[in-house]
Amino acid sequence: MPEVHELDQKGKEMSVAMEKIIAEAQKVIVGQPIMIRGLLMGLLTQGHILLEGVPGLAKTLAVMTLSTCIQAKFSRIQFTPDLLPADIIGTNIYNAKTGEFSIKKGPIFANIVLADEINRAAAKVQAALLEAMQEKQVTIGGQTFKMDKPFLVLATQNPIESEGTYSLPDAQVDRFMFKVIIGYPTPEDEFEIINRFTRGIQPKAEPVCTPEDIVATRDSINSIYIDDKIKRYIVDIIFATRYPERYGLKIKNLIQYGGGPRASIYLTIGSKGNAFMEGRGYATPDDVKAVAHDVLRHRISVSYEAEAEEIKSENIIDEILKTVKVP
Amino acid sequence: MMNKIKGFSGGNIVKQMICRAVAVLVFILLNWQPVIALDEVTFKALVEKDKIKFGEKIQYLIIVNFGTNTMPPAITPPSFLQFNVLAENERVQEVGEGAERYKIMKKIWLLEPAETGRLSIASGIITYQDPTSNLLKNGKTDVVFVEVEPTTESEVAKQKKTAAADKGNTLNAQGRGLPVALILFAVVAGLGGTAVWLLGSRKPAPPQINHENKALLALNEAIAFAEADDLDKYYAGISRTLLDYLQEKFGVDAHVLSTVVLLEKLTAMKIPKSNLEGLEEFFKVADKAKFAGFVPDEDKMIELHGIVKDFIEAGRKIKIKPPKVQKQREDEDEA
Ligand SMILES: Nc1ncnc2c1ncn2[C@@H]1O[C@H](COP(=O)(O)OP(=O)(O)O)[C@@H](O)[C@H]1O
Ligand SMILES: [Mg+2]
Repeated sequence: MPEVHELDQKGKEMSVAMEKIIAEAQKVIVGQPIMIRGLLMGLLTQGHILLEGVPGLAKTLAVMTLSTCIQAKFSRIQFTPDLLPADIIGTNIYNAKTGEFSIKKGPIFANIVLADEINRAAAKVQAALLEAMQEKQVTIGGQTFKMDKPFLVLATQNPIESEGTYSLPDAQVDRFMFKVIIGYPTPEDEFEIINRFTRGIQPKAEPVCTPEDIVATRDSINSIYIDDKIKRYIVDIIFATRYPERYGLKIKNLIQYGGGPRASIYLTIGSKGNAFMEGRGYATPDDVKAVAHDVLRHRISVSYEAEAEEIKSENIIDEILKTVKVP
Repeated sequence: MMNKIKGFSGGNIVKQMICRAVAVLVFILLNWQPVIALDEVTFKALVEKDKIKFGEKIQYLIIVNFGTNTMPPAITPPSFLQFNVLAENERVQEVGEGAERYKIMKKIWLLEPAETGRLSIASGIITYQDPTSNLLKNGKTDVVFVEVEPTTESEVAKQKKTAAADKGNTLNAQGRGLPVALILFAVVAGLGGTAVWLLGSRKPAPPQINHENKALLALNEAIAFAEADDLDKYYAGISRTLLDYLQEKFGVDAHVLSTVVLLEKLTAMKIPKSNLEGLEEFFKVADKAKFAGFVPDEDKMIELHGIVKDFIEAGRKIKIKPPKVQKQREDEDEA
């Protein structure tokens, strides 16, 4: 039996700290709660996040603001078509005077790496970044270097249809815990954006915690209780993306392939993160539902048939959540 | 009003009352012989007839004999799944002389069958103080069966007429019928005043199943577990009552939906926000119990009980036509 009460208490305390971060970020970012929540969840669960939205929705600004709030070592890599893998990872530099090679670490060595407009770079550059994300280490000139801790990649991309983009290979988007879709602000938020950014003073956020605080918070998220009933529910959801017919769903023809085991893992971690954000010491089916879209939308590949009917992975996830039995 | 008064005929009511009183007397005499030596608590459940016609009403009784020196027992009624409960009454009475004195508790339900065939009434639970050990114990009454015969159309029509006449009688039982009631009271008082209850209960009964009454009865049933210190079962009882009620009254699949989705659905049904506030707290605890092995303590349980009771009571004001058969509709959606 989990120590629910203790967990609950701890959860509440910690989520107060999170509220402080959110409040600070909101001094700069207007609205966009889904984006802020997504970024924080990534930070707290050590899951890399892919933000997708049209240009100008404050994706870059949000990541930079969050880094300020937590005093993280931050670096921004603007992905462009002429970027090379060495530009992000680092390289071996030959010093003509001493006749020796020395290692120059790239911008990837930071706590928070903003991979801005990741789909504008060539595939081999994307691959280099994603490998570092996976292995948590890189090799420069035969020498292996561990990434900093925490190490988090927050990538932004324009919707795939935009011109001059190279969409990320499926195997690589799978590395991102969440893919968060960002939409336009509401009219009220747009009004506030005008007010905030036309006064001639740039709104600024102040540091409210340290990277160590974030690492400590992670530990308490790890200890959030997730019952076997919830884990089985997660397994059912993932299996429904692979074998929908087993769950009475007649959508097999719409799915090219479903989520892999990473989907299950991230759905579990994400559910814990959501429980934490809600100030709870245990996960419920509603936590699973709350993160299911962000975890699954880039992991379910729709068939040509679905594409022809303009059915998106979002619609498939909706169907699955409606049908799979909640414990 | 006018109709009701027209339906009255003086001679009829006296005859009817006497017949009923005698029937009850005979029925009790035949079925029940009180145990005089009260070193144990005895109880029994019975119906006045074992065969009735559909549309006819029937009484179901639970009778408990207990010593004057023990705590009064609590009777948790069965859930009358195949019946509509029209009225209920409870009374306690002392009988016997000197050391032989003991008490009889009677709980009576006036029922109307909801279907035909061999219907059953499940066990009632008696929570009583055992006279030898002084500990609280739970006992179960036997399951009782009633054969309900279908009625022909003409009989249905006739029954409707008598029902109308009954209503007229009720009105007058409080006025001109009063002396008659007093005489009858004298006749049957010795055996428990069942007839008085009969007269008193003959208010116009709600014609259909009343979700709130049913749920509140079920909620009462759960109390037996609290008294037996079985908090797990008590909690399960409260929770089941609420979910059943939500399902039956509002047509939402409360047993399967997740908390957030369920609350969304109820909100969409325009149930007042104030009604739903308590439910939020209830479901929070429910999730905690279900997914974190949390067992609410007694205080919390009382709070939950109150929340559910208030919600059900407040539900009386809400008129909602539940969708016919929820399950089936979902199946169709899938297809
Ligand atoms: N929700 C918002 N809150 C605050 N500023 C916003 C918001 N949306 C847009 N802006 C403004 O628009 C600018 C564009 O932001 P940027 O981060 O470059 O967008 P993106 O990276 O999504 O292309 C911001 O610097 C800010 O002035
Ligand atoms: Mg940008």
